[in-house]
Amino acid sequence: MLRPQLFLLRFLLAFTDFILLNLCLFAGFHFSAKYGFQFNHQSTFPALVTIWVSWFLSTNIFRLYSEYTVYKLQDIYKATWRSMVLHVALFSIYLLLTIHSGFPSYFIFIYSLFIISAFFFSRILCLAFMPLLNFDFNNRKANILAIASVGGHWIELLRIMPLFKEKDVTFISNKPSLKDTVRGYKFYTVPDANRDNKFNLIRCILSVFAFILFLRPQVIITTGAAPGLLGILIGRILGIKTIWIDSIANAEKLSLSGLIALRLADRVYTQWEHLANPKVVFSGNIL
Amino acid sequence: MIFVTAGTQLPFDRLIKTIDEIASEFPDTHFVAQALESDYKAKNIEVLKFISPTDFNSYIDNAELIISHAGMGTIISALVKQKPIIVMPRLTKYNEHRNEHQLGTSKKMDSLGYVDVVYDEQELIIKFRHMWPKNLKPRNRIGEAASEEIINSINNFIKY
Repeated sequence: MLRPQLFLLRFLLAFTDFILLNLCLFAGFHFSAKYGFQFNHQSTFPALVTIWVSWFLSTNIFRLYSEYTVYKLQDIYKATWRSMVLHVALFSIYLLLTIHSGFPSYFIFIYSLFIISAFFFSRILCLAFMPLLNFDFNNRKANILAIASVGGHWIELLRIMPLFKEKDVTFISNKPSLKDTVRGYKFYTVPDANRDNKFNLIRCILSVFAFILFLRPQVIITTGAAPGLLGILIGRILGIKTIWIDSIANAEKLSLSGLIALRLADRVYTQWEHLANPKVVFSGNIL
Repeated sequence: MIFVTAGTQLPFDRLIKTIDEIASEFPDTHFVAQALESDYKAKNIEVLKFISPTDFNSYIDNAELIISHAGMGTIISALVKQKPIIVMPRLTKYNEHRNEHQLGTSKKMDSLGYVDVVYDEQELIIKFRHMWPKNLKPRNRIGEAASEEIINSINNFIKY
């Protein structure tokens, strides 16, 4: 599939979703009005703007219409339901804040019901049409976030540098001087965290979370330690593809962080063949 | 020059103390060690707390022999630069690390023939006397980057 076609597909998806959303809102108005609630322009227009803004925000956070997402149906599903949940949450907050404007309290339930069913059918249509589209996965471009702590973890990450060639990648570590080792790439630092210091852990979580929201990667790769594991956790919540590469230093068993990552990440690599199992992938090491 | 790395997370006095003893026998040799501050104050070697990545690389470049805890950072750097390296793992029984993974790594790296490993201070002294200064030969070498196998696997997972 060529780029202009891909762009058209993204536009079509976004456009139909937007129309659906508005239809759902008006269907909600209609049903509420049927049961005796009077809506006026002063209350409906701000609601309309709110659903536009919150839908725009939600789909952007989960990158529903990005080039990477539209390649794969599963990724569209993942981004869709997450966007829907966040959208409904934001809209509920709006309705709670403007409770005096006369919206019936059950309006949000009617609206949610409508958008869930509308998007359900819209995605079934996607399922029918996707096999007709000819995607070349070799051209699939991802925005990557690579996280590793200072020391061995960082050096192991640098060993897979050929992977990042000609890719949109940002590095995150916890020592500013490491910037020199990844010249030509974006590099940011986060506070360090470990099991012993709760305050630093919170600072690290907030920092990693802020960077992920700001950079909106579609793939997170980490070779380890606390900031990487936090990246995996946040990535899991936001529906980002996450990859944990367990350090080569864990030759006898998977690290504790690796075991946690096993429950969260989309893929966990070990660098030792005897530690591989159906869930833990072995495909060579970084030596 | 002999470059010693003891890691930046916890002190590793057993290594620094042994190196300090060895250094007293070789007054003409320059020993540089990267180690955290601890109770033991070395007299015969230069100790640095933290070394920037650029400086670290130049120390590795200039070193004739590297002596290290079993941290993969130093081991990989030494293997890439083809430097002889002696590794001594941190052990939990001396509170040198949270778990015994350094011992496991050392055993594996030893049996696969990547590095020379010593398991206690006495072995380190014997090994050092055997190697320094005439028997310096790196046991193995690795390329500039990871194998294509793992890189292709990750790349495919990103794309598909």
